[in-house]
Amino acid sequence: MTDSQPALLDVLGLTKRFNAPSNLFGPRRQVHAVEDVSFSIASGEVLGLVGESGSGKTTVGRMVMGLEQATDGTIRFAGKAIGKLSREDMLPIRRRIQMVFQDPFASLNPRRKVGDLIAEGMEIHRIGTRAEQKAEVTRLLELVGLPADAATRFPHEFSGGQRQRIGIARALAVKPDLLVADEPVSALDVSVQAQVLNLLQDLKEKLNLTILFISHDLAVVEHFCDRVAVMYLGHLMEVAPREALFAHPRHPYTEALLSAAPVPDPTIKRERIVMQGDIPSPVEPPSGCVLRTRCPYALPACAVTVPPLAEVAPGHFKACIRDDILLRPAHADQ
Amino acid sequence: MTDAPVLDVRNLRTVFDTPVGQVVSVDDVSFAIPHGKTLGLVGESGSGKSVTSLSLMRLVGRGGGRVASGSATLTTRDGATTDLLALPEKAMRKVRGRDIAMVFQEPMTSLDPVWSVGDQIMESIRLHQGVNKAEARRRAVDMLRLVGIPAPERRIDDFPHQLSGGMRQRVMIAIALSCRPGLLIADEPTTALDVTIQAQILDLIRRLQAEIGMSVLFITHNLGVVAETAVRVVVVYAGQVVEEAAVADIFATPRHPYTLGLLASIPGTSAPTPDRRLPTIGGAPPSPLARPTGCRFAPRCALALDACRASVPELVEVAPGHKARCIRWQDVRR
Repeated sequence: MTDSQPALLDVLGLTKRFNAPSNLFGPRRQVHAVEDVSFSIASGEVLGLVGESGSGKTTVGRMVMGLEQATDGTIRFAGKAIGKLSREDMLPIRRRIQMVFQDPFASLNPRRKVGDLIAEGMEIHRIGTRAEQKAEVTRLLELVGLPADAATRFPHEFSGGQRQRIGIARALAVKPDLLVADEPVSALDVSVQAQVLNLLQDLKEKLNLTILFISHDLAVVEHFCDRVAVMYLGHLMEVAPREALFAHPRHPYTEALLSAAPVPDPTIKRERIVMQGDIPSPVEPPSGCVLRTRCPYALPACAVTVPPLAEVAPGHFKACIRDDILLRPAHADQ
Repeated sequence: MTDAPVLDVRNLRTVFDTPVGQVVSVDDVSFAIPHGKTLGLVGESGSGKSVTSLSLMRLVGRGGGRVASGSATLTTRDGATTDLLALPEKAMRKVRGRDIAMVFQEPMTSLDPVWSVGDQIMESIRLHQGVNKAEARRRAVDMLRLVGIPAPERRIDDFPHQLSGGMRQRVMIAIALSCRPGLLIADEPTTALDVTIQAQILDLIRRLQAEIGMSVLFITHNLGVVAETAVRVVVVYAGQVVEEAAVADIFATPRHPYTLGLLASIPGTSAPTPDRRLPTIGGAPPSPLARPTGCRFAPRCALALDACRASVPELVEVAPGHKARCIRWQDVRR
């Protein structure tokens, strides 16, 4: 985001619409999964992409990975537009973008040995000889804190935290520059979650990784990310450096999200902003600002136009027309 | 009568006979749920917290388990007492739903996909309250309105797949509360939900608790949720209670190293370190088939001595109303 450093990943006007199952005689309908999303990540930076289910955060991650074709918009990786590349041209870029998935139980093939799972990427990208790949597997296992004999065992022999380490080793095997981590610690118990977060921090520093960290857990995001982008119903609501977002949220949705997260401290009794109702259907999103149907600060004008993402402080962007409201920070003591 | 706990669980022991040996999932667990209040039961995967709740509902048989010993004395609103674990199945069937209701974690798999939500609420009302169909339907609409489902007259004929996750969980709660039970057992009721919906559900349970004077056993791994809902907390590890205290004491002065480790490993609870690392508990919980002799937490504990490995520590009272299973509790400091 900083002007001095070139962005490793640059996403501009990214849009994804899926065809929705329509009624037999009804009009063709579309799911507005991602609408006009723009952000960039500098080399070595961790950007947190936060939102609830249906916000489109995972679809953004899948488009960056090339697992999903964008309906509109461009994705530039290391200066090169990657959205419309052929399979052959995409392959070398795929190596440089790797993904860590949420579910360590579903994302590893149960019939293959851990060593083969980790080496698979090196085989596909033809990196090194067999012997070199084997040595690399041993090195990676040590890097993620697993015993060397793990290579000859099967995924079911490992706990959730260990499987997530295997998933991370697998992603790192092809020496990526960008890691797309989709809820990498959400399925783990808190004590194990802390271990995996520390591991990611170690790896990020050691390997100078750039990370797109997709999560719904604000405490984890505040701990781990440099900047945070908040999504709701396919749209970006707010983008800001971590401290600014948690200390001075500028968007009503961010405020509500921060206030809804339960605080592990019984002495803090705070008033919660409970958003009314459910998230509207992405097939028929509200006109204007998509949050307006649940927003406590909505005005009639909010229904008219989609508010643009505008810079309100250096590096701090929000998509909201209300400039006259003071929003509460994440922590009462700030 | 109001001073007596709603449910007094003593020395509960639940075992599963598996081909590789007997697994003691719940090992001598005791706790009491105060009248009209919420008791939090906290533990990580495999700690035995869900098996505890299923044992109380007498539902472990389906998974091949059995309650080996213990008692669970339920005091109903009219002052009558019954031991749930000694009740014949036929009598237990009347207790379920009427006196004790349960809400599970996964609202999609707990609802029957081929029946409308109205049918599923009315089933419980007609079974326990002996009213006719029209009256049951009227009460079902009232329940849906109470849990905050918009347009309940219309929604009552919807099928589970037509509802969002938050709405399904509210339907589950409506079914659970339709007979105004004295006790609600909520097993991770908000874990699968987004934070803004979680906030709505927690508010709903709290409001209904005040309205109908219900007691709640809240089973969760989320210490934030515990801090906001419970008056007392029981922490379980590897099938045993390791600590029990008032919620303020658990958070301010934990006396078991496991509780301390759990609290510290949540992002944002300890003072941030300059290197952005979280305090962690090393290792992983022991397999239920190979638990250490002595203290079950000793292999992961920084304070462990030889004496800890020699015999299982007793659960001792370390302060009025505060128990811990640790011989070094005086050295445990936040």
